Amino acid sequence: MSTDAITWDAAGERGLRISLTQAPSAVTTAQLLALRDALTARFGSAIEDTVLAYQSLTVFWPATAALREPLKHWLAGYTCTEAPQAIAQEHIIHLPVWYAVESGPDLERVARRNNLAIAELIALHTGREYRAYANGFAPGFCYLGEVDPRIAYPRHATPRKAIPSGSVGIADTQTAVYPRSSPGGWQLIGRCPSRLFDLNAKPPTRINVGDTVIFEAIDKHRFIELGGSI
Amino acid sequence: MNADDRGSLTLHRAGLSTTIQDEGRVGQLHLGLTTGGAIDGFSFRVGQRLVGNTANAAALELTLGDAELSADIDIVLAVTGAVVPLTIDQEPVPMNTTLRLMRGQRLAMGRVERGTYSYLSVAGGIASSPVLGSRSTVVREGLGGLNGERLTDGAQVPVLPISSTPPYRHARVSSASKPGVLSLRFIPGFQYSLLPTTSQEALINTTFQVSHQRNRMGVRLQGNPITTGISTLWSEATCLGAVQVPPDGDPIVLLNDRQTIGGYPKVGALLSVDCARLAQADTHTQCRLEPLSPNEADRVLWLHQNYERELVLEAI
Repeated sequence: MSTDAITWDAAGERGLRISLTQAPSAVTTAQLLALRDALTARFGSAIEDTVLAYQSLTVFWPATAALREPLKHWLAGYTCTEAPQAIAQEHIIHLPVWYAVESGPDLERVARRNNLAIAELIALHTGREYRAYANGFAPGFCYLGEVDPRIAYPRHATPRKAIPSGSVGIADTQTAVYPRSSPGGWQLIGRCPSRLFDLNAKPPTRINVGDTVIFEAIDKHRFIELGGSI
Repeated sequence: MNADDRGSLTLHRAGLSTTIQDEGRVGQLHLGLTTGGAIDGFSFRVGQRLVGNTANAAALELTLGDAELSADIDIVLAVTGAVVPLTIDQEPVPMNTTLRLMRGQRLAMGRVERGTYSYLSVAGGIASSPVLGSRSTVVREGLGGLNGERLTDGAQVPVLPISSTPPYRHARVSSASKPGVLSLRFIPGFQYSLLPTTSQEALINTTFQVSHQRNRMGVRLQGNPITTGISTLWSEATCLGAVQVPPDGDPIVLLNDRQTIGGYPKVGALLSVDCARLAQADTHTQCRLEPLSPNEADRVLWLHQNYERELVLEAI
């Protein structure tokens, strides 16, 4: 059921979850992307879908394909790529964020509880590149990591019933943008006016696993100018 | 196709939760989009066959019955799935049967007698716009159906035209579940092997009850709480039927509208056919989890596919 670096087991009647044993990181994600590309090249349309997450790649096949045994056999002979192409070809996305008490109802508290001035929190949030680890939760939602430990903060014990679209949140060391209004428990520190899910775009998701995201601070005026609605 | 050929249904009473569903938005999990689709695929497909539709036309999925509709053209329809009393202009008509509804006549569906989800299939299929290849409504994502929403009282639902009337037939299917405890077959996986032995045993030896916390996303079971001993987990893919065990210990079986990834421990996944049986079961139904190997699961599924393929529709 495993080699040194990867393990696999059933994900229901027509899925296999493949896990890397190492911790999530840019390298782990790059290895998972390389694994996905190798699988797709080998099995093509016999694969119905793949889901990338922090440490795992889950493969699904249609009811008509009997892919479980061929997949396992192939995996037993697979070696994780050490220097995946994915790292060299990184795709950088710049997202504008209006950080303010008005746009981020938790901004002041997250800063205060971390013994930071609001400006310091903003500088730390905009001061590094984030890796996209997983797409899910809602159309266009992408889990990004990791924030500077000095601005990390746990989720709300009780999620909010509705938060505005574009809200930028922190949950422990993760950060993300809520693409549409939804319930949610993350700590909200600002809002992004960019559209993150568009059915007419290919792919419809603006941020995809493996991408690099950089946040840039903008003011309220610019937020509205870029299409943000209050 | 001429737009004038199109008719539409009017839902005078929409019922508790009525959505447009087909076989689902397959192959978009990598974008974070769930599959949606008819919860009881077998009943849905029998309905499609009864009205002569080809693969992946869309139907209405109704929850617990209690709905009423008419059409502005003559249509051919069939109702399958959860057992509901049916009338056309107050005259009783059978389920699992091809029916004709003349323009202006009223089809009324009473409260459900057994089961949860019924399917109203119309010859031609529902004509809403497909999104990424599917008309299935996923309310949580705001995608599919009409504006990604449930249908409400007064909703107008467009129907695709048909070239010829299908034969009138009946499907001899039983929607009745076997009496006694519902057996839910599952393939152990995900964090199953990390569970303490006592929890693995409890999972299989507990008689659970179907709780009232149930919808198209999942069904919560109640019984002796299961302790996973797992507090942190990196979010990973879910799958249809995944048995998720949150900190309170009551398992949740994930269904068609589930989130595509999640961070709660999972102990395996139900077979798709048992997902449908669970979703159709009445609240408070007792159930047990029964582990089986992936190979055994393949055999069960092959038998089901075979049964469905060989199901003969009888002329009436």
